[in-house]
Amino acid sequence: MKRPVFLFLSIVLALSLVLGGCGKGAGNTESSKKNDGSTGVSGEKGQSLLDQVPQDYELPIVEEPFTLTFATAEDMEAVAASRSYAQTLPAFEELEKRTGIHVKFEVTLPDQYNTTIQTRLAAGKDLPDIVRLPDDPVRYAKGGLVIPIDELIGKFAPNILNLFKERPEVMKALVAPDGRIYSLSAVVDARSMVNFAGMGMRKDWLEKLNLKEPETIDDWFDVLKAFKDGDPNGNGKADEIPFIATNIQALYRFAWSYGLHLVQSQGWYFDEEGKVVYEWIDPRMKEWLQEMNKWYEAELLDPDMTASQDADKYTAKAIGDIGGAASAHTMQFPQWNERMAKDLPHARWEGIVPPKGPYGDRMLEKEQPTENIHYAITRDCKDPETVIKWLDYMFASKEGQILVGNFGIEGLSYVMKDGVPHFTDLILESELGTGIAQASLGMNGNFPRILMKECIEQRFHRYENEVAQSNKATQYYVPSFPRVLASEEEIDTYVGIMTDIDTYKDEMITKFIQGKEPIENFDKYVQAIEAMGIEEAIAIKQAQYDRYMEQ
Amino acid sequence: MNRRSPLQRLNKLKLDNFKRNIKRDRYLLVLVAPVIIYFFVFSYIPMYGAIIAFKDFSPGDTILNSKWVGLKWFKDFFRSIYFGRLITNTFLLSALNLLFNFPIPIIFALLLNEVRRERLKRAVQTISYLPHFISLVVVVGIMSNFLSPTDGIINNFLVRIGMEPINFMGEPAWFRPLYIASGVWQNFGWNSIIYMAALTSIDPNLYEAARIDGCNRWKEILYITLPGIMPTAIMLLILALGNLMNVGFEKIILMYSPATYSVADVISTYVYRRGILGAQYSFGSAVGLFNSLINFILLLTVNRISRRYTQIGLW
Repeated sequence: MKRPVFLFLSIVLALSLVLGGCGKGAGNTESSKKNDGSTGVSGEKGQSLLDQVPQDYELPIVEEPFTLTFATAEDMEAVAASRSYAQTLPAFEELEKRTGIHVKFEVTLPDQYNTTIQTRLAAGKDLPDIVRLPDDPVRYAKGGLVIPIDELIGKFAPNILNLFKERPEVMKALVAPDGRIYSLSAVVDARSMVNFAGMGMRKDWLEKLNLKEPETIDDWFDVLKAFKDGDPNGNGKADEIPFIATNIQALYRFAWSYGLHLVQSQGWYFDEEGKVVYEWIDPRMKEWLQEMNKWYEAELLDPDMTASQDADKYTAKAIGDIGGAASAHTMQFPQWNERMAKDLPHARWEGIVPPKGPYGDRMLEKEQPTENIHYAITRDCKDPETVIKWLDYMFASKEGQILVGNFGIEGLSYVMKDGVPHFTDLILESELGTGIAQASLGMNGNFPRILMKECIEQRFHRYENEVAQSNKATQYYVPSFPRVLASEEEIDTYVGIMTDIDTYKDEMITKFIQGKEPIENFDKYVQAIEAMGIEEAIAIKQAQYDRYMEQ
Repeated sequence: MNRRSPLQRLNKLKLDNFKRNIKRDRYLLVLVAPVIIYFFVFSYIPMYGAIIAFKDFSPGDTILNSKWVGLKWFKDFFRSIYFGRLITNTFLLSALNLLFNFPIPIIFALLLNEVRRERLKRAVQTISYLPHFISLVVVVGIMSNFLSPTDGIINNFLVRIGMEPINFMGEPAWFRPLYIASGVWQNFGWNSIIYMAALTSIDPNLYEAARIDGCNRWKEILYITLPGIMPTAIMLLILALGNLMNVGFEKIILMYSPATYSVADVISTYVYRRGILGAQYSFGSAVGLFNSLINFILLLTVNRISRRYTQIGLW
């Protein structure tokens, strides 16, 4: 009899803990709201932020031992080198020596990170000082979970402010609809100068079949057709798959030739007058679909692409002398070549610039300046001033950029030549590859950082041809549709409309390309999307775009 | 003692009885306690969170603090042009699944029961329930490899005998058969265990008596074995019907693509795309609540029907 009573008591106890916890959470919200009121009096907005003169700080930032907690996703490249951010990696050890601040990373594997942190944020208790958010900061800011940092930057972060002055687009991507800044993101667009997201093909097949590198979209069709019929792998069987892809989105890059921006901008773009257009229902879309259907009917496209092929199988085709062309980042191709070197020494995948379309369109969407991952300071942070200084140093100062963002420790992983850091052989000649070697020291992980062009250029120093192609591609770059933080109402309305439209659109695009839906029905497709309320979604995007342009 | 009224005495008697029962069953009560605690903590306490279906919840708000919005999310869901298709797909996939997944384990258990060689029986049983332990990701991976139109063995075979390769995983018509067949393959052995257990509880004397009365093996099955496992079967059927609107969504997420949305998109995958990827937790809960309501009504109805016609029911 004693035991059931004991159990009952423990249930009651557990219940009171749970309920008590909730009560405490509510109290926290109120107190943080109060805090908001007292610090936000000046009503400083993002725009006037640039006029402020922050005070400089001296290193070390703190005299007393200080531990900062930072929840983020594990860097898989560090894992590949049998390291983890749960340990203090060399770059952060050095950072600690300089700043006096010890960082305790709370890391989770990337595929589980969002689930884990979402639960912690929903509970809203015992949050780390800095958190990598699972999505846009606006939602979390509204609940008071993360604190605004624009004033902190204005007062204490000279380097971040400099970054904002030099590159306003970085700041614009961070300004919330209420005009405040709640988060920082890694600045990564330097990589698109060296490693562009385009397409590539087997150059040796081209040579074997006496073909030229395709310049226009029609050339592409001819080349792929020749790959199919000309037996370029020479095994006597027509087993070549001219264009390999994991899914149908690989074809979106050919829409560039029709002046459509489906890759980085996801079909949202602006015309000359600054009016936002939903390109999925644009008449040019019909022409692109017709062309893709032509490719599909001619059996030039990977048949596995309509059923979301897994990456291993796709790679097997690429390096198995089966695939002839693909959409990928340029630096993917030398990696494939290295894996083929043993069995097929003549094989040569090479990146090429996108083709010209029927009306002379030739372009590439440039990557967004920042990663769409936000790092914010939470309401549980005891000393935001110290934390913002630390962020300022590690993220935006020249030394910090070099140390944790890119090159690591002088004398160990880099040396200075002519005022420019150069990787040592520890990185460049590492058996693990430059990326993993870099990660093993704690650089370039999941935290705010600025990717330096020198860093990425040196990492890919072996691939002169790809670097040259990337440089060639830069002349075709057009900006992507800016990523603007949406207000919660905007998100709710937008998601409500777009879930249905996206479902319908994805389904219909696939059907048009497969020819299961005759292209004559394109007008019906447009009407259906209009009937689903696309106008309202366009209005939301327009408001966001206008907000962006006004800043 | 004497001064107590009869009612008081009766109450005292009841209380004594209660105490005695508890004392007698104390170990059983301890045994069942973890289960009760489990359901209390993980099923009953979280129920209060269902109110966010009527609220506009965002992380950082507490559940109690967020704003009431009434039936907004329900209306949103009903207004979706895919509402009809989602309901149909969910219902069809689930019903077809039940249609095959329910009788096959019973038939398998009956067949296995007739096997007289004990070692063969054990071996077959073990092999048949092994697939149950394979992760869904792996099962779907195996499927897409075997069925690939470029180098899958099934299609290689089809091509060799002079047929056109079929894009199984990208063809809407093939989605349901594949989903159900792979489910049967994975679970029929495992699901038959409970029937095997029910079979062993049938009194062997009944079979002996039947044989004396001149029954053959077929009639034994018909008149003794089947009625013997009927209560178990009906119980499981009622429970399964109560879950009719819950389709295992992990497997669909792994299997589907825009090419097969038309038959594969079910309520849970739609909620996943909108509620989780779009971070609309309130919307997700509203649809979940709606789903549970249908399941609950189904469960009540089926239970009532079953009680009326077979006298077997959950309560």
